[in-house]
Amino acid sequence: MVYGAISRVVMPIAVVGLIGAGMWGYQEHNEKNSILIKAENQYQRAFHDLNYHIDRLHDELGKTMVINTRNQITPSIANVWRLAYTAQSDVGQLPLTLMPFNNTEEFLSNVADFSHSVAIRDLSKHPLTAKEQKTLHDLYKHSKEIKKELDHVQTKVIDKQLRWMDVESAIASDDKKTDNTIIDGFRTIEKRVQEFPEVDWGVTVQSVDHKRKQRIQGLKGPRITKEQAKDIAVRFAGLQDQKNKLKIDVDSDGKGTDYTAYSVRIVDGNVDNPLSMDITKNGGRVVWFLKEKEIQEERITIEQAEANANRWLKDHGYDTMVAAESDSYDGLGVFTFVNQQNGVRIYPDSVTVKVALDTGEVNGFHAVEYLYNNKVRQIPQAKITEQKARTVLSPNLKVTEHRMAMIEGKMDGKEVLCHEFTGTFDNQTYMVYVNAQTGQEEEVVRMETEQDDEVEGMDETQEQNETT
Amino acid sequence: MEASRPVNSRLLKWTIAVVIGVVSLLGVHYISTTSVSAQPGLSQYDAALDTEMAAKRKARTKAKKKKKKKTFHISRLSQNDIKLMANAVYGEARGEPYIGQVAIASVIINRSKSPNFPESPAAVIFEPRAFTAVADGQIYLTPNPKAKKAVRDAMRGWDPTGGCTYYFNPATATSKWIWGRPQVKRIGKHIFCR
Repeated sequence: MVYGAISRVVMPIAVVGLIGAGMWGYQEHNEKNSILIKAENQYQRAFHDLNYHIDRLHDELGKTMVINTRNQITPSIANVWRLAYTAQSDVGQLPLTLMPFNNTEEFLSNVADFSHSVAIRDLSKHPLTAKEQKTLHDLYKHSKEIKKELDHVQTKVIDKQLRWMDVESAIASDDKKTDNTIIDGFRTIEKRVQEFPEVDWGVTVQSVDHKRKQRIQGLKGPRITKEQAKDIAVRFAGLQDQKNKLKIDVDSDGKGTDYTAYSVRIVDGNVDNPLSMDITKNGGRVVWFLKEKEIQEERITIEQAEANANRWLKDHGYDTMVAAESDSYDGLGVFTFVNQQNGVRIYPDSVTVKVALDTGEVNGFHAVEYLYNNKVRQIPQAKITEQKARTVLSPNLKVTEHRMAMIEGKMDGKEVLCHEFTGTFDNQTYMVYVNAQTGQEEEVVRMETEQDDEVEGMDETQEQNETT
Repeated sequence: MEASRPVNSRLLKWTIAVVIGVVSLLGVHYISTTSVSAQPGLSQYDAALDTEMAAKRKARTKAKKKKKKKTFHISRLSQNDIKLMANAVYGEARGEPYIGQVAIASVIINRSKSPNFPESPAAVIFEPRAFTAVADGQIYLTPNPKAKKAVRDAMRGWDPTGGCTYYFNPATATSKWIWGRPQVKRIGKHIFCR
């Protein structure tokens, strides 16, 4: 009887509870499904879009092969540029990060860069060279292969109703059991692209590529040992007199032949604020150092900090540098210095110095650009006078300053001598570089001055103060 | 009286049962709705807090405006891009040493410069499966000033990785392919590779 009484109370509650739980579970299940479908749809869209753009890319490349009129080829090449760029963006939306697909992405990126450099050129003055014709032909052939393979994958995805969500989890877990049609298809494409014979991409793409390879190889100079690296690090940080108290770790970077530097970590007393530094194995040059520390109340001005930075650079062997940029965040003054030779600013030779605005101490430095670009230079004579260069400038620009400068040229990355004009338009500062040999505008840079980010800039320093 | 008592008690029991049932249903419903909308709810709170802080800051900004220093530099990523990157860095590496955080920010920047990856920091960060913190939602945590500073340092050119575009945590990495890439160095828990 007691049992019956209890069951009479509990049973209805249990039943209602069960129904409730069931309804809840069903609702959850539906919601989960609809979210999964939404995610799947995003992937499907990116994938089918990729196919569409590669199809069109192949069409456009085919057109450039048969068009013979110069002013008809530019729209076609501009389309190639747009489609290659969009296709690359489609790839970026697919879950392919965990598998090798980077050669294909690089291929698409190079197609975009190559076609861009052709499309913006005045083809009536500089028509396509035989080399470029051949490059276009190669691209046409390669796009055909990629298109064929992708088409094959797309057919299977549609016919077999394959889901990208499954691919995603299969890639993440290295699962071999699930249907691998998509993964295999993309692997095949990647393999094909790798096997493509070397395409002649022209100077624009090559100069970037060359630079990257050069950087991986590292600097030239006599090889140093770990012990020597330790000494260099301590001297550079100005900690010679406390050497015995310091805890110094030196790691050798990388394996194989591509390595370049020793990583040094110096702990002086306070374990929370170690000093990290990279020193090249060849030549023993300090590439960068960084010391993280909390900034107390700011005591010095940005001008004083700049003077400190300049003095510090002179003490460390950089004695022909002038400040070109200054910036301030989180209680720090950050300055970019460039080499100056006979009054000409050499922008490729740049170093950056960070000064704490409380103590005025230098607590960060990097010289990657300087180390890779610095060399003995013969600065050429300008063929175009300042007066003549001014006539090239836009009438919108109110020029306030002029000086000479060496910058990296836009097309091939080679250094060119330029007239540098600083001017304003709509309260914004711009630097315009006019090539001193050809008289053409080489580069325009928009500068940010304090007026620009007044409120935002203040926000940041305030935030810092709140936390410290 | 005698006869109506059991009826009454049964009615009572049923009423209790129904009430409990309804309450439990409501409870379940409440939990399910709040658990789904937990993030927006939280961010609403954050937004309120943010506006409050912003108002405070603005008040102080006015007082301090005169002390503003002269700066002059090339225009770079917007404040919001920096915030987004700080979110990613914080989500990925909040327990890591400072250099490790600068390194993560550098990888994002190096990827956006590389032809093998999307162009904008946002596209790099939200590339599917590129960052675990994006996949599991940790990117929506509020970053601390340290992460933001790490992003700023990386933007100004400090790159502890020396140009790396990949990194992984050897303890949790599931992809075998990542081990095959040329490794450059280890910072904290992460191995950085080209």
